[in-house]
Amino acid sequence: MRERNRKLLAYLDGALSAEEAEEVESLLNRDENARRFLREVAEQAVVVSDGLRQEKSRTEEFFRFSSEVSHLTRRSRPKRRGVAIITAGAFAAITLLGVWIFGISGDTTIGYVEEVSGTVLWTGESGIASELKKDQPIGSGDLETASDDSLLKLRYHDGTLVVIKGDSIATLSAGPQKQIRMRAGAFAAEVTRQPVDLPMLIRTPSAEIEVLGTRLDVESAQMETLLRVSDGSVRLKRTADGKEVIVDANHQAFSTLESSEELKSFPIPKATSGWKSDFSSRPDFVHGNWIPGTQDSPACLMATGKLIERSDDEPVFIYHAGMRIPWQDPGAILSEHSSTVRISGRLKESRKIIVMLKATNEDGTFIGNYFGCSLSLAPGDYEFDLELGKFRYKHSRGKIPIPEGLSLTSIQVFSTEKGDPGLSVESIEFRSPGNK
Amino acid sequence: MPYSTPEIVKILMHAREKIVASIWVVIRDTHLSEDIFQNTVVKAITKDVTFRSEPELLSWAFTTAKREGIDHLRKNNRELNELPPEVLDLMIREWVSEPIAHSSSRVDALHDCIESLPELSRKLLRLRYGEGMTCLEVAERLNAGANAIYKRLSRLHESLKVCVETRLEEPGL
Repeated sequence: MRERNRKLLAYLDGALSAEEAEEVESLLNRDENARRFLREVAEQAVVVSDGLRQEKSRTEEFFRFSSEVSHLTRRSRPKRRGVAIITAGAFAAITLLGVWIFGISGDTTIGYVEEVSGTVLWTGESGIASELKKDQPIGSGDLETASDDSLLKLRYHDGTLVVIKGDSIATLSAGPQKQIRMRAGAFAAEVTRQPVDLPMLIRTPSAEIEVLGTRLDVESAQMETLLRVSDGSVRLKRTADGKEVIVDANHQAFSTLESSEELKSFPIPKATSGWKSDFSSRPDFVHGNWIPGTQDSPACLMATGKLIERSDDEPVFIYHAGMRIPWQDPGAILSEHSSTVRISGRLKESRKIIVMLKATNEDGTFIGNYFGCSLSLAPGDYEFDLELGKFRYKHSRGKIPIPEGLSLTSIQVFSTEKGDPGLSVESIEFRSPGNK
Repeated sequence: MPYSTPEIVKILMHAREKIVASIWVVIRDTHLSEDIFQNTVVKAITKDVTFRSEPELLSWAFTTAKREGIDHLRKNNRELNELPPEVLDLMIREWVSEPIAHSSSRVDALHDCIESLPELSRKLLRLRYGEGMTCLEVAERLNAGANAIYKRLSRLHESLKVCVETRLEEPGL
């Protein structure tokens, strides 16, 4: 325990390596006693600091206020007078500070909601989560796009546009420097020219990205970040070791928590027409669990459960598996109406399977999520084909077919019917008319 | 019935140490934490929000203070580890769920326990938390190794905890 506490104290100082810091954070997440120790340290720090301030503070003004506000404190014993004075002084400062704050900063918003679809939850200064509405002004806070077809377009006051899409969690900060912390999900931006000393800052678990003015896309999962730049140039720093790379227009870079991997920028690949998955190693940006192959069964992605909040209906529990595509291939998959996607795997229960494809422009700008659905499949091995031309985007105005020529960048396979279907995906193959 | 301004201030002042501690956990600076706490109280009494229960007010205050602490950390100090949001939320929930009367007694006991420490121990705590030095800086000041300071600090925190628990068991607290 003593070693645990020593590490916790070193963590507070920022004195641990990235790996050790991650271990401590994991410990804090699961160990109530570790959190209790940290809370006690914090409270002790506050009381120590109060005592120090008491020794330094000798002004009559504090004594005068102490009798006026002593009823507001819980301390009644004479030797607490020093702390009551501190509290009284704080109360006096609060009144003055209130005038200052109110006078100088009436507006703490950073922008407004230009467009929102699907369920997007926002927790701002009120501390209460609510759904975002179009034209709603927002300041600093946490947002969560709670379903895969969620989309939020946020326009900052200086004209910068940020698009957060799919299943994403982000924290926005107010202040002269724009800062977004993406814990997970996908994000695109058109950033107007920022002050040289205050670039826009985007942080993910594995990268820190500085943006002066450009168009870019960021996809973030727990252990990896993909940055694509359409216009301008962006500095990406890998959090694992602090290495940096400049990513220019029409280039992309991939940052993981693995500092042994080379960090480099490379051109955004052109589209290809056919592609087949290979699950012999774990794909990038996986939803669900990757199960390695054995002598008896091939490698696969196993669907896992997830609760999806919906703005217009009851929450739904889905079982899903998915990944970024095309994985391990420099090309991008084009949406051609005559192409098909073939999916095979296993099911333990009879189900209809829904397939969702995420589509972007060639430059990486997010366009939408498009859905296709299989017929009801029997338990056991399954295989089905879906024509890309039949995929639809669910919009409030109706279902819109997928345009041709888009780049398909991720796929998810899922079931919305009640109960775990035991869904696994062993192969995903995009087949163009020429190679069917 | 919504709380009046004096009621809001009273509740927040009673929970002051916990709220300031929750901010300190983010920014590791006791003086700035106090400033942010004061900002939070001002917002509670000047912004267009109403509170009808203590848990609602405290939850709002912790969240608002956390937000400002995180903003400050990002603007000013990239060297410090930023606690994962889920850990911070867990800790805040644990703080909020603690009855104020209980924590009030605990802080009183803590104050007594700190005052009863040997001078060198109090000096260590003052340098680390009152002056805001890192343990490395404290080690340089006291001409000791950083590891030794971490160990000593860790023992100090544990002994304060035991002292507080002992005092809380005494009648009258």
